[in-house]
Amino acid sequence: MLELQLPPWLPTGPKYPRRRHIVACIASPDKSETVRAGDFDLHIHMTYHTGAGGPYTLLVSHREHLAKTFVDLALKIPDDAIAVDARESTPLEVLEAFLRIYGLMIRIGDEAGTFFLHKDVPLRADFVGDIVSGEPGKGKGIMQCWMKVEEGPPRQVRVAFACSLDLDEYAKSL
Amino acid sequence: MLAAVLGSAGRVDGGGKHLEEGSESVTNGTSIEDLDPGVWYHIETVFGQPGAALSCSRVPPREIRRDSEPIGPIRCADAGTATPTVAPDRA
Repeated sequence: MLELQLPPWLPTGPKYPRRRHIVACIASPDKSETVRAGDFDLHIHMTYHTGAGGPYTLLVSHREHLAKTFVDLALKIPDDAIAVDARESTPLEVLEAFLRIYGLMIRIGDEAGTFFLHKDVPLRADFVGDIVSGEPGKGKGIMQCWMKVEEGPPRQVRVAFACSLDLDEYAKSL
Repeated sequence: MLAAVLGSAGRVDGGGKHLEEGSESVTNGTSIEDLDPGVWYHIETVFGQPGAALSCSRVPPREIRRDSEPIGPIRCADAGTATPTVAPDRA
């Protein structure tokens, strides 16, 4: 039995993923992918479902720590909400396609995007400002980022994975 | 308007809420100089709801890989992910 820790911001309600579905996705995924940053792993799993509103994909990202499973994302992604075929795509491709529509901007150093994966961002010597910042939407949103600073030279931010999600827009897709 | 998360000027905004027990964490008032170079941090920020919070925590040691897995992507980021992008419905 997995000891699961869900993020406190995770929406709850009939249209959102339930705990048992998240556990099942981690334990018996249809597809899995691992983001490796050399010294830690982020696991991203998918399971395919058919619900009252049509087919959808459950996408869950998690980490293991002290015998606990920390869930960072648990998203119900309707097939018609993204521009790729989830059943023919990898978990990261599905997540990236989802964030193209429902993502919020993240700025890391001088670079911006809704999704960063294995990206080294140089910091100018005269760089002044926020190393990592997220742009809130009009409503609720979340940002996740795994990064480290390398003094260099050159000084840079090494990003393993970063994304930001507009929870209100996501809710409208369900 | 950008919400400051981790400021090089020496500020971390947000509630300083820590979500991972047992991890060594940084919180409000932490500057980039206070972060250990070469150490992985997990930043999670919640926007726009009561109790909105920031957590900035070291990646716990138990997550550190002890083997010699090579550093690198299992899949390279698409060109569009590393450059400024605007979601289609926000363009």
